[in-house]
Amino acid sequence: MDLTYLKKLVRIVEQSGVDEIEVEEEGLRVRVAKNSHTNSSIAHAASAQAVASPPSQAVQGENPASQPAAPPATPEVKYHEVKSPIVGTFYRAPAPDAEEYIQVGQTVQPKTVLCIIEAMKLMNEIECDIAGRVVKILVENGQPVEYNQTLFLIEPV
Amino acid sequence: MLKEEIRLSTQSKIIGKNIHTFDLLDSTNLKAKSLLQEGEEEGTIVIAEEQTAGRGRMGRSWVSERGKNLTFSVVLKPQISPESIGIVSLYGGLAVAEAIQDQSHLHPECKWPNDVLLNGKKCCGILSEAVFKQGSLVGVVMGIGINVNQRVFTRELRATATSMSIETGEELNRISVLVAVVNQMDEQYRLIQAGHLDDIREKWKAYCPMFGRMVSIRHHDSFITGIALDLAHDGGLILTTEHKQIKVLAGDVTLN
Repeated sequence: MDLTYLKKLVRIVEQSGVDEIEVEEEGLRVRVAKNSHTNSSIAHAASAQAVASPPSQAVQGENPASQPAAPPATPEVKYHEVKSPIVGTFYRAPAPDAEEYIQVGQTVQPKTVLCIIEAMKLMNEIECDIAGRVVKILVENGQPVEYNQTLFLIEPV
Repeated sequence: MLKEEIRLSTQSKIIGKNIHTFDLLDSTNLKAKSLLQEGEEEGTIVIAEEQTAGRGRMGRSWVSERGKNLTFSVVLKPQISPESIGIVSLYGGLAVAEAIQDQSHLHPECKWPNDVLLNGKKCCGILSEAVFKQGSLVGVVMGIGINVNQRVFTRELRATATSMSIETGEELNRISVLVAVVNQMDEQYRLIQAGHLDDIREKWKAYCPMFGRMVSIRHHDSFITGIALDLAHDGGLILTTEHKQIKVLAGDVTLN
């Protein structure tokens, strides 16, 4: 998928009545959306990252007018953010058929395991660092996460 | 298994400094992880003759015949930046491959990121679990299961699993194999602690036949195909697809 192709996709969305378009090719998925409330354009396959600039950035950089991707709304400051220390795949449970570590609304303590992030088959347990209540889980199970991406919002108690 | 025998036989400085042996344990990783949480120092090994809840990644079970194989976990505190944590996976496979090569005439192969194969079949499983607190790495527990003398596998495993004994046709001394792994883990660990991650990558690559070849990677329901080009700085796999180079951090690799 090259830049020209991505530009074409953006143009199609701009000039048509559709709000977004999603194309999958060779395991690479790109979504271009008009609506600023939708998530950033994503490009991942097998949790792959482009070594050069990722297509999602290319789309944003080349076509600022198309508003393909607004950053997620800034969380309210009163919540404590738990961020990912590494790049990997986010899992809410230790095994596919196991119970999820935590649910929204649940009270957590320092040392409560919130999730696992897997990188190269290394399972990284992410512990909560404060006592509080889980307000929001920002990532879906099985999705890739970036370094420093906010994963949970915790209301301190 | 006699811990004194293991301790006296290793030249290891860090790995195996403390050894806890158990006849029966739920899981050596669980035990080692609780030791790590209580502040256990690096290098501690937890060995069990039998595990009642031996497990692999994503809760898969790890089956090992009592008294035939090696199942143990090691407490590690790698001085590594969180973004390079994947190197720890390579490190485990590398140490086991080096030890098997050292203990037999076999030619082990490393499969990205942390499997060790003998004649294309898996003889070693590694489950590494890291604990992070406030964004920093507390430590890693590396569980290692090596099929040493097991000769019989279930029908489901027969096609994909093997042991050192099946491949050599001989019974091996388990303590000698364990001592070789501990020595190798110690040697490679010191490279990590000294920041020589490039040495780990280069040594690992020498055991891996995938480079320059077409591979497929499956992660959940997505597939990606390309030529395996190199290891990235963080241990990720760099693939050349038809259009560009990408880095892969997850998935199961198959040689095409």
